Amino acid sequence: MGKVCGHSSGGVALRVAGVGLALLFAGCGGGGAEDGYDPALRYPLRADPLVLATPPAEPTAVAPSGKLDETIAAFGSHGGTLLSPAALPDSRREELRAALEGLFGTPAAPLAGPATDVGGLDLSPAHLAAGSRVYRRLCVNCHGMAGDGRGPTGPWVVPYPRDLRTGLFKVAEGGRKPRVEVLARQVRRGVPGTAMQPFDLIPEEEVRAVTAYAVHLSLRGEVEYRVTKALLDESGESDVSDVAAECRAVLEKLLGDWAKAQAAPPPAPAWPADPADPAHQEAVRRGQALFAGAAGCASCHKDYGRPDAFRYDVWGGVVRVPDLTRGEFRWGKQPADLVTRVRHGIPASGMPANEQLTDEQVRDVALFVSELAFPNRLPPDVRGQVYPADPASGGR
Amino acid sequence: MSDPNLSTSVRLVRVFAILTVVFAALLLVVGGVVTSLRAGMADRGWPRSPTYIAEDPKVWQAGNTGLLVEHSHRALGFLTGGCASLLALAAWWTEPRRGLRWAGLAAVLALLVVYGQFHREMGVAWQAREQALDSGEPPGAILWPKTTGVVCGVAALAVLGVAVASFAAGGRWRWLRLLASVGLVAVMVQGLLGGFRVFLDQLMGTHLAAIHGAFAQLVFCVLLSVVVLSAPVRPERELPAADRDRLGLLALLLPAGVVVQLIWGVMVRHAGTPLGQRLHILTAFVVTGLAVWLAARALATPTGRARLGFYAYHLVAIVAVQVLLGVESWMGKFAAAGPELAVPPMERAVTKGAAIVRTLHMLVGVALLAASVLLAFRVWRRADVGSVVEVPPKPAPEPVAAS
Repeated sequence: MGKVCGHSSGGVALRVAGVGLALLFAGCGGGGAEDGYDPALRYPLRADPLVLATPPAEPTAVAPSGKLDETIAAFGSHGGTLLSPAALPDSRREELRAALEGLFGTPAAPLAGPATDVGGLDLSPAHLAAGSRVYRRLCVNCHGMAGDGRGPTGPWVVPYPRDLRTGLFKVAEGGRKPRVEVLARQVRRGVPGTAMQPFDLIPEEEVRAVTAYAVHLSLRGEVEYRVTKALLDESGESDVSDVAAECRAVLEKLLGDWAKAQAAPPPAPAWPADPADPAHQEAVRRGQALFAGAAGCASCHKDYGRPDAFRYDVWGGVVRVPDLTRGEFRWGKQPADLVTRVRHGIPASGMPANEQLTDEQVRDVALFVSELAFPNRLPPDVRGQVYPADPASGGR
Repeated sequence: MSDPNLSTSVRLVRVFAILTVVFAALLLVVGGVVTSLRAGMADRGWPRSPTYIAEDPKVWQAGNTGLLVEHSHRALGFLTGGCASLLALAAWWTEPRRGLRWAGLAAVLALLVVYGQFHREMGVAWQAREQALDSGEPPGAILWPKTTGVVCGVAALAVLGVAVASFAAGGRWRWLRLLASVGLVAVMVQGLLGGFRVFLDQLMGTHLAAIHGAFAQLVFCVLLSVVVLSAPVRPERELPAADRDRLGLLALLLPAGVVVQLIWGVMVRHAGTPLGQRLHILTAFVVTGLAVWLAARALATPTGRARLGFYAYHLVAIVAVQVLLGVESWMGKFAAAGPELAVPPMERAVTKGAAIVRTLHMLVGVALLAASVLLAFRVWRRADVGSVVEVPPKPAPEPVAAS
């Protein structure tokens, strides 16, 4: 070993390395997900096309992995309707960007316009900022920075992560907007059968905060969607003279919609608990008859959903019509959940509402659907129709 | 103690060791794809049966590449664990002292039983939680199998303890037994890291994923070492002492440097922080310098060229490919244009091409680590360590009759 200025070369090397490391650490900062977004970051304007109408023909399969945007881009040539934000003039884009930033802030400092509360949901800047940090830590990989469902993981899982920007939610009960309690519940329990995991181990305040932030992304995305659509209306003539005023007006309407949707729903009709109860069995029979007949469920859920059948959803993705014999209900399987689905449908994925049915009829259909996965709980005649190959049913 | 079957046992060890390394390599490939696609949470459930998709085909929805890749990764993990188990058992069969042999075998078997039981109980806990969530009930406390977990830990320590005892007692193939036992425990720990990465994602984020990724490289090195140590070393292949003195330190510094570089690489892949980026780039210079220096010194003498030339040339080629892939990975991840410019690098979409390049960069990194470990063994290993068979000396050449 040699000597450098009277010190051993090994010791000098260590000192140099220490100084170098100190220099490296200085100003390197964090930048990890726990730190939240960079305060200088801005929400990007939407670049993907707006899906105004999906192709009329039903799809035959889910879009190949990583090719959702390519599949959507081809809608125009299959009878669908798209609007491309790229067609906006630069001046209009800048006006829209400024208006959205004025109303909704930045990812690190999000706002909900002038609103700080919607139906009991805290939309204050501090609460949204907390939600933004949770979102970046836990949600952004799938749902993307702007809530577009196009995070890095998004293209590689099916079903695709939810695009929050159209303001539509499958768990909405009749209106366009869901109750915040229902959204928070979905965050806690996840969505079975999808890549959305439950977030039941994080503190409740983080669940509330990230739910609020999701509402913020939905508001921002929907304002952008509606105003972009207005700016690119079919006549090609933009009749939006003041983009900022238009954004404020749309936001005001949406906040009203969210507030109206927070009213508690009516209580679910009573649900017979004992499968052997004759009243229960009779309700299941009625439900099965409605399923196959007046309610029209069998038109999509052919053979109770067993064969593959696909539909476009409003976001341009493809959903498989659920196989109800599997007993998996992504949006909840409690009586109240199933009654809501039967009554209000899932408009976002093409399941129509059943406004024509009475409350008792809705209950019967929901009860039948809840028992479909359990052959032994079905009356023998119903079991014979649903599970014809089951020897216990005595069917063919 | 002489045992006529011993050489057969060690040959069996070599077969299992090679199988384990092959499956581990495949596991690394698919694990790399999982990380490149950010699909580590494509399946929210753990533990699941490794044949989950085959058992319940309806969970598979066409286009769900993330789920397919993630489950392939888990299935390969299961196979790797199986081979590592057989490897450990076969390695213990080489222990010449009966008492230690049966202690080692019993410890390994006990660990396998308890580890399987721990997985079963974790599966019950997860199912209970899913059912509670599905029913809308508060899930309550998770039924962690704490007792089984502690017993599993004790069993693992017992395996390591007996392996250390066997090593300390000396004898042939002691390194084999030690590393096979360490490899088994390491593979099990790696499996648990992967499982808890999923189970605790909401609490730990990608931290466990990063640890899982870094630890994988070290486990692979241990398994590779078992393959090396199960191979015969002919005395004439041993590196002369002069070459060993010249190259020994560098041969150890290089794999150490590569491990450090891989850890920074894990930081870049999982967190993308500025610190990780700087460290990874700077260490790349260090590792490249070490590799080129080592290759140059190895090729500087005739014996070095004869005995290390294959390793040296391959090392330099791997480093060259790795640098190119590193540049392409960097450009794909951190350079951007158009709408992507507004999105932070870790949140940008990953194209198929970018995923391929990044995965290749990670895999060539593993290859570089493997090459540097193999070269280190080649430099340091003596002919009397871990020999499999008695190698008869080569007969002296027949003198040529004067014409």
